[in-house]
Amino acid sequence: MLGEMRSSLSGQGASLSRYGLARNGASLGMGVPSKSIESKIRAMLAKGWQGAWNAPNESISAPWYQNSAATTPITAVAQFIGNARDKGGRGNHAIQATAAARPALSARVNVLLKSELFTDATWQKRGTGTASATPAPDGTGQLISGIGATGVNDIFQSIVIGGSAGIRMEPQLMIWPISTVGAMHWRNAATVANGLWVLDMSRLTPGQWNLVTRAHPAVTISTEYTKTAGGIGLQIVAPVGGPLSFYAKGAQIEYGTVPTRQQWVDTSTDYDTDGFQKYEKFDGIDDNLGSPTGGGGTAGFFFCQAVKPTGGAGTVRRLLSDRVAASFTGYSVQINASNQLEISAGNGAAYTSIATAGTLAVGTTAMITAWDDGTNLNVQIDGLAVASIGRPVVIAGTAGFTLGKDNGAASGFFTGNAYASLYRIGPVMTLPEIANAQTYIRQQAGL
Amino acid sequence: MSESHATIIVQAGAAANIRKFSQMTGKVDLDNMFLTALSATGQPPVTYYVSSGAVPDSYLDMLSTPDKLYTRAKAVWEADGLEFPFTLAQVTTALSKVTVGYGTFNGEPEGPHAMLARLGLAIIQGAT
Repeated sequence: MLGEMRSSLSGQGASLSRYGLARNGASLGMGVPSKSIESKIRAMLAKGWQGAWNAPNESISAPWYQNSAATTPITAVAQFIGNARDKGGRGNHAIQATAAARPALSARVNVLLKSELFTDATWQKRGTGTASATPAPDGTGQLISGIGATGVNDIFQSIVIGGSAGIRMEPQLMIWPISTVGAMHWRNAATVANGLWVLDMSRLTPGQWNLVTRAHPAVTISTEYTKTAGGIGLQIVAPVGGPLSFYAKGAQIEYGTVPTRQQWVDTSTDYDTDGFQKYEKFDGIDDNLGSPTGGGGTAGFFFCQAVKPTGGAGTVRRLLSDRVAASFTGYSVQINASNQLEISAGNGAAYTSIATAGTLAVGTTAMITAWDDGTNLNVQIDGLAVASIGRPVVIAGTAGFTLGKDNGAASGFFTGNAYASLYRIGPVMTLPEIANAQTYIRQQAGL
Repeated sequence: MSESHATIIVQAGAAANIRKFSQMTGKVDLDNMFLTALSATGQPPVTYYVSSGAVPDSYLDMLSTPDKLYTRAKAVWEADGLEFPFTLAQVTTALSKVTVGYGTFNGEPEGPHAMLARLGLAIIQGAT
């Protein structure tokens, strides 16, 4: 019940200032760390450390740069990152000189191409299915009419997105019913077998907007939404009680298994960024960042970040590394081929590795922590059990470090979203310091 | 400088020359391209290399015809005081081994991973 109330409350004020809705006040300030936690992080990093503090949420306000030479500031999302500044003040900026290998700065959550303009051609209409700019009585949304049986009289948006098939995705839509008779079906436009939600129209409240997510009592989930190899879609049909007319706005499909705040999208570069966490989007082909300094640690390694892998299952995806594979030196943190979080450290003869028992879910944001506490190598996903193994006598890897691929090799590319990160080598982190770092990372990723 | 997102796949045998054209014409921004190795199985030997991301439109235009690539590359070499070491026939041969995807296929959006899958190519991963 409480969950439903929260969902309903957040839905009534969910974003869309541009389209006539008030913003959800709870979201304001997301990604802006409190002074106290910032000061604790600064104190932690001041203790004779080396490493880097990567804060994408501040990449425009304290600008990062589009080029490696740091002469062209990043001014908006969807620009590419050539120089991610080290907020920690050690000058270990993560750079990428090669234009095609730069990750994009993004705050995109909603993968739909148009979330509000159902009259646009991206929303295909068939048969009697139509959309008009006629708004609901409150002046927002658009009128959708004539929705009937599957594939004959419908409206749908089908999009192609990369990454692995089978990843769970989550739809949502705001509906102002004109009639509360019959049933509305939401189908994955790519294939019905990969998503079918049934809405009992009689359980929607007439005369107002209804935020329809999985939490709404009108929803019966027949088949969960999963991405196919080709992509995902939202097809709206009314096999029972049609033809159906209703007002709609706030369409969304996002990665994951729970609905989050709705994000309006107009184009790939024009979408709601207010209060949405920023991240580096790595394409899994060649994107990576690196610093020529800040690597070479032999003790006290610590790395904490929030990541959302969106593909690459079955392959190793390196998050941070200063290792030299040929000489078995340095540290490395990766998502292994089984989707476990793993840390490796080399003693010059072999790597010692430990992986979490649990796995990272592709399409879901998680906080990962990997550290060397002077006795053990440790890894942890979110707040789950720590997996540990006795540490080797670590031999230093390279003087710098690499983010998003193997250090010194064109492989191990990470596919997905990389939120803020904290990396330190030197003095062993205390447990309170680790807790503070994790609190900061959670804040930065909205976890 | 306008940019576009493209996925560029180069046959392994032509990669060295295309890398050189890219580095000479784009300097640091286009250096170190085509390092991600591909094959049909995801295992060696390497048969292709790929780069994917935002690149200057002028670069994509240069790759659009052998004449443009030859003319612009030759001008860059000569501006650097160097003799252009390739013939138009060599440039034509090299460019024939380049496939450029602009994010769509048959009118539908196509990401780099989908393009690789359509072409039956997989990234060769390094040692774990």
